[in-house]
Parts: sequence; structure tokens; C-alpha cells
Amino acid sequence: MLYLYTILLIFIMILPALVIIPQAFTELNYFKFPVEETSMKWFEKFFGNEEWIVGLERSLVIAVISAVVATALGTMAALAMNKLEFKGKSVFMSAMLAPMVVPVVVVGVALYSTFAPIGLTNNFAGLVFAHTLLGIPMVFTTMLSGFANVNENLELAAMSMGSTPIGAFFKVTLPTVKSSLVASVLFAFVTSLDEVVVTTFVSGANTKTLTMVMWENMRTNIDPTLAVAALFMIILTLSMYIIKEIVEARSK
Amino acid sequence: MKYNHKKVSAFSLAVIMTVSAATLSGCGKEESGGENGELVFVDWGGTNTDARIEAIVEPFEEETGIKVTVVTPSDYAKLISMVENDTTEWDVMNCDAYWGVYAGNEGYLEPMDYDVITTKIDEEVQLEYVMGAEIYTSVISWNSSKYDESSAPQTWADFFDTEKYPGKRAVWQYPVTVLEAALLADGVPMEELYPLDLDRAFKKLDTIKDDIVWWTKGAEPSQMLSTGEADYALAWSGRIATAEQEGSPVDMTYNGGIMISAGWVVPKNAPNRENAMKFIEYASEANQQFEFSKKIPYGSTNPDAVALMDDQLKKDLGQSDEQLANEIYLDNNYWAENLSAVEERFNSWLVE
Amino acid sequence: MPEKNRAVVGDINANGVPLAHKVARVSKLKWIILLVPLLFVLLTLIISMLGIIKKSFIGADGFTFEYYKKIFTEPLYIKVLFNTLKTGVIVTLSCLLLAYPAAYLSVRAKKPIVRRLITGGILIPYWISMLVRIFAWQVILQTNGVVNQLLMHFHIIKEPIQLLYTTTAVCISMTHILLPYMFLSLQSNMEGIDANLSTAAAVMGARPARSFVNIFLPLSVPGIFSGSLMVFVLALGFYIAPALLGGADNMMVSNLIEQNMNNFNANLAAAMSLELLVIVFIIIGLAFKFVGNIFVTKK
Repeated sequence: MLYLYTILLIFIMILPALVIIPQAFTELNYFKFPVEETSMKWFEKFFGNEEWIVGLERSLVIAVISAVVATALGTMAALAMNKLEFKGKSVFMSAMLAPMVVPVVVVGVALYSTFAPIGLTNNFAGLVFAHTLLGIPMVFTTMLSGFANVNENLELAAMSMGSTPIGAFFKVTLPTVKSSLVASVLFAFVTSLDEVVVTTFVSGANTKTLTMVMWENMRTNIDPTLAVAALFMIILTLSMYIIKEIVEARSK
Repeated sequence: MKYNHKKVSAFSLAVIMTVSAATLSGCGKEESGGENGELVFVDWGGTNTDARIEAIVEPFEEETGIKVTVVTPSDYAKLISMVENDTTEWDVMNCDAYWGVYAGNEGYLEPMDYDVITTKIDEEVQLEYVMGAEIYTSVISWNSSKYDESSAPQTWADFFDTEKYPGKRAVWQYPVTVLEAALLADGVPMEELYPLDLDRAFKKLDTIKDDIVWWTKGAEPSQMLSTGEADYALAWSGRIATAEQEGSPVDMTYNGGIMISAGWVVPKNAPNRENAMKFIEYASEANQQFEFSKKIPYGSTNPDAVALMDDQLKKDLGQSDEQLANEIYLDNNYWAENLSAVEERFNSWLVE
Repeated sequence: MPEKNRAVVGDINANGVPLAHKVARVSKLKWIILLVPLLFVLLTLIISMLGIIKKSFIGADGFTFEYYKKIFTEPLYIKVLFNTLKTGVIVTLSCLLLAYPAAYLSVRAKKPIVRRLITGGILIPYWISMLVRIFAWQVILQTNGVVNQLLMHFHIIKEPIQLLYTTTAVCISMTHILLPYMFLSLQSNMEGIDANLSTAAAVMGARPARSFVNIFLPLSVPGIFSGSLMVFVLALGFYIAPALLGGADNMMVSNLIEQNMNNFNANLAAAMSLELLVIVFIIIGLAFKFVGNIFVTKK
């Protein structure tokens, strides 16, 4: 039963991908399923425009860096909630969640007024800061629930066997929350990839991401180049996933 | 505690500074300005900007020696933030002319310098804070694989006639040009359109509310028509024309078209205000407007540019004399003054 | 209750020193983990947010409540807020109900490959840009789309039904976009639940269903909570999917905020933003009150 249900759910989850990927090969200039006549013209268009490729590359680099930084910061914050005794925990929690709760256009305005006077707009660092900020609440919430199930007794056992608290944290706690950590990195990574509103405020001529390129076309022109971009995203991320699996399998 | 606090904040600041400094120097291959200064030009992006770079920006750089940086997309809230923070980094932006008038009235723009800008364009869009750029027209369009000119609505009255023309209508989810269309459909003559009779317009819109599918992004209507999600649409002419050229089954009529002008504006305290005015002058000249309209199907605000076009191009852009007799310019001053209130009322009507 | 279950494993904390105190002895440096993220959020966002929030109380003639009066009395703002919250609740519940069984199966499966396949399958769409996924749903739900073709093929319906530009379309696409957040939250939390606990319960004679309800479910509450919080809050901020897939009555608070920013009504936009913030914090506060501070490990 449960298996059947899960297979159905997965099918529905990947249905949009199954529908949109063939669109990359369509002859038409609008989306229609099934694709009847095929052509490579949208690939030509994708590769013919530097913006798409540069944007893709830039998006990936920014997403990787900000996912790593956001995971570090968000994990620290979750650990502080979990381990430290201090007054005003709910205020602290609210502050950590604020970047997710505040409507994006307001985050954009706020970040712009922080960044513009110190020259952090239209550069790479500003974008990384902005995307890190947006990733923190995701990491924070995920790690909170991860730490909630850490068995403290194991940490204490490690300490009683001579580990320092920091050693116990790395030896016992981190391995237990490994899957929360992986989930956190993913959330922060995808948040960065998909972000467009805040990005518009912080970025400029030299920092346009792939998602911005996609959105700009919305005003005038939607065409299957979008599907080509989606195809490359999937290939890139899937290959990252496979490499990770291979590395893990080898290390065992 | 206090000691620690200080140390840590100093530490984190130091980290932030170092990281930004490192990254800045990493990608700091700042291009040096041209021999005659620089200009930051902001546009919507996509195919429009591609056409504009070829038709206007590149020849402008060549002729004046001013180095132009193209930034996309135009963003109203960002322009407002820049001016409020006194960190304006944009020199000239392409926006909707009515929004430009609005922003100018609110004190966010530099007035046009008509000592530098000497080209004369249509008087409706040659304004204190805004200089008209290209025209896109709200027109009646339809799915051409299902209908032709004899079976699709050809006037706004037809568009609002659900008995004679049954089917879904795709309409812009925005009051601008939609209220005008409703009033024209209800028999208000073009020259008496403004100020808009809002009660009458909403009453007319009520009659087709159930037959409307709403669009919010300019690229949507041609998709909706092509896939059969809508039979007819109030759409922007430029997008329908492009889709048609690319082979989508869509067609349109300029009859009753309501012309929206995009416009050039210069944000308050723009760093290169003088170059911005030179750019606007250059972009408004007949030859450049003509070149732009040849590349992408948007009309021209400069009558001399229209004069350069052959008859076919004029017809494609809705700028032949016969067509223009049945089209009207949007009243930018009306919308600048009333946009906020009318948009609120429009939204209230939508969720009723 | 978590603390009870911990007792099953046995309390090794023999000398009775609370862990926090033991950690406290390490060094005052531990406060870094609190201060670094806090400072980052304060310096980048919160300080300039305060200036924006101030605007919601300051009109042309000084201090005023007119913007709040407006958003709490005019039908447009009330309806749109209600619609935003309703959409958030529906999407959160659908994500939770759909993702929980799959997450449960993935951590309970004996073979690691099953777990990987489930996780991979649910996460594949997560890699596609949100914009593209919205268009994919348009293709699926449109009048001549996949769903209607299938239904007509199997003679379930005779005429295509209108799916696109309805609340259903909005909820389907938002659930699809946000489900991975819920799934991963649940899964990562369930991983941490000591599998031995249920085994122990089974050995002691509890039937599987009962051990699930009594032991597994309560222990998965932190995952449910963090997943729901993330999905709900993210759903409140959505406005692209509702605009592209929904009808006129799918307007969201964020739409109005954006429009007002463009129309030089920053004050009203600020009031609406603060309204959203306060609502979310009230919900978090209530959850804390009823569920207890579930995120803090019990002593």
C-alpha cells in the first residue's frame, strides 16, 4: 500500500519535468504536449546568447557559496537555540526567521539601503550576502528539528569517555544530524538558484543570474529556451548527485 | 560579556570586510570609462534590449565616445530606493510613460533638458519628466487557427459582446487600457474618454467578468491564444506581432488600439545627467527610432521615423494614417494622477 | 513525550551535571554561535527593516494609524489577507499529508536503495527553476492539456474541464513546489528518531500501529513543525504562481505590497509587511505554547 502510494506521489512529482523537458526539442514557439515536430532551434538560441550561459555559470557559483555560508550560520543559530541558555529565545528565533517571513520585495528594499552606501550592490559579494541571508531561515528551521532528536546521553557518554564537548559535537552530534545538514544545504542552494526579486535589487550589469534572464523574458517573450535551461539544470544537478554517490560508495 | 560581545562583532565585521574585499578585487576588472564619460542605461531586458543595443546603444557609443553600461531589468521600486537612499547609480531608464510622469510628480526624476533634447516627437509623450520612446498598443487579438477577421471581434464593442462572440477573453489584470477599452465598447467617443468615467467602465466590465481569464505578464496572451486557453485577448501589439512572425497562430487588429508609450526618464541625482540627456536626444532621432522599429515590432513616437517606414511596416506597427485614425494615445497625466486610487478600486472589483 | 522515551534508552547522565553547564565551562567563545548569525541578520536586514517599518506609522502629517486602519477595515485588504492565509493553510496541510507517508517509508525501508530512490524521485523537480515548473503546470492543466486528455481518453469526462486559472491550479502547483521542503524536513527528523525505540516497543508487546501512534508520531513532531513552518511561511510569500495559474480571486498580500511599492505607497506596503510578520510570529508563539519548546532538548 505504502509503496504504491509513494510510487504514485513520485510520479506526480516528476510529471512536470517529464512534460517540460521534451519542450526543449519542440518546433513550436509555445508549450504544447506532446511534442509533435522536433527541432534543435531552442538549443541554438540558448547557446547563441551569452547571457544564458554566463548566467547559468554565475547562478551555480553563487548558489554553492551562499549555501555553504548559510548552512554554517544557520547551524550555529540552531545550535545556540538548542544548547545555550539565554533570555529572549523567541526574539532570537524571530530574527533568524525574519528573512523568510518579510515579503521579498521589502527584503530587497532593505538590503539595497544597507548595501548601496557601502558599495555592495552590483557585485558578487553583495549577491552572496543576500542569498546567504535568505538561506539562513531554511537552514535554521531544518537544523532545529535535527538537533531536537540528538540523544544527549550519547554526547555525555562520549564526554565521560574523555572527549571534550567540542569533540563530542563533531564525533557524536554532527553524524546524527547529517541528513538534516544535507537537507539544509539543498534548501539554501535552491533558494539561491530560484531567487529573483531580491537579486534584482542587489545586482547590476555584471551580476545577472540565470533566473533573472528567465524572468526578464517574461515581459516580452516566453519560449522553449526556458525548457533548455531547465534541461541543463537537471543534468548538472543530477550529475552532482551521482558524483556524490560514487564518492561515498568508494570511501566505504 | 560585554568584552566578548565587542570582540565578536568586530570579528564578524572583519570577516565580512575581508570576504567582500577579496571578492571585489577578484572580479574587479572594472572597465574604464570612455573618452567622453560614461552612462548607465537601464532597460527591461529580453529581445527588446537586444534590439535597442544594436539600433541605439552601439551607434551612440561610436558617435559620442561615451561608454554605455546596459543594466536590466528596469525596476520601479529599485529606482525609488536609489533616490531615497541618495545612491542613484542609474542615468537613464526605460519605463512606462505614465509611471514616469507619476515618478516625476512625486519628485523622483530629473526634468528633461529640452536645450539638449531638440528632436520633436508626438506631443502626447513629450513631457516635463518623460520623453516617449517606443509604442506598444493594447489591441484586440485572436487565435487565428480558429477565427479570422470575419469571425473574430474587430471592435471593443465586439470584444464585450459575449453573445455574438462567445469564448474566453484574456485581459490584462491591470486597469490601464482595460478601463479605456470598456468605455470605448460602451460607446464613449475617443475624444471624450478622459477623465475616465470609472463607474461606467466597471459596469461594462461586469458584463464580461465571468468570461475573462486574466494575464499579468506581457508574454502570456500569445501563449494563451496559441494553446486555446483563450479565444480572444486584449494584448500588447508588439508581443502578438513577434509571436505571429515566429509562427504562432495569432492575429490582431489595431482598430480601437490604445497606445501606451514607453518613455525615457532620468532618476534624480543621476551621476551622468548630461550624458543621459544626450542619449535621450540620440534615441529619439528619426533614424534611430526607425532602426529600432525595423528590428522589433514596436511603433515609433517620432513622426519623422514613421515617415521613413514603407507602407507594410507602417501597417504592421499600426502607424498608417488610416489605422492611426482609430487609435488613441493613453493619457499619461490622467494615469499619473489616478493610478494609485484606480488600481485599488480595480483590485477591489477583482476580488468582489 | 520525548523525555519519557529517552528514559527507555537509559540515563547515562550519571553525575547529574546538565550538559549546558558542562559546555559552559569550555569557554565564553561558545557565544560566537549565537552572535555571528545574529549579527549577520541584524546588520544586513533588520536594521534597515526598522526604517521601513517606521514608515507604516508615519504619514504625511506625522504619526498615524491610518495605514493599519485601512488594511484592517477595507474589504480588499481583508479578503486578500484571508485568501493568502487560506492558501497557506491548504498548501501546508496537503504537503504534510502527502509527504509524511513517503518520508516514513523512506526511513523505514530496509534497503538503502529504496530510500535513495524515494528521495531522488521527490527531489528531481526541486532542481527545475520555479518559473519553469509553473509553466509545466500550465501545460498539464490547460484545456487541451495532459490531465484533460487523459480524463477524456478514459471517458471520465466528455468535455474538457477548466482547471487552469482556478484556486485548484494554484494549490496544486504550490504544493508541488513546496513539498520537497516538507519531505526533507520530515525525513531528516525521522532519521534522528532512534529506530531502536520502536523495536523496543514492539519487543515489549506494543502492536506496530500503536507503537507508531505512541512513539514514532510524537517524536516526529519537531519535523512536522519545522516543515510546516517553512512551507506555510514560504506559501504566504508566493505571488508568481497565483498570478500565472490562478484567477482574479487568487490575489495575494505580496501582490498588493509590490503594487504599492511601485505606486509610491511605501507606507501601506510597510504596514502590510508588518502585518504578515506579526501573524507569523503569533503562530510561532502559539505553537510554542501548545507544543512546548520542542526544539530544546529536554533534560
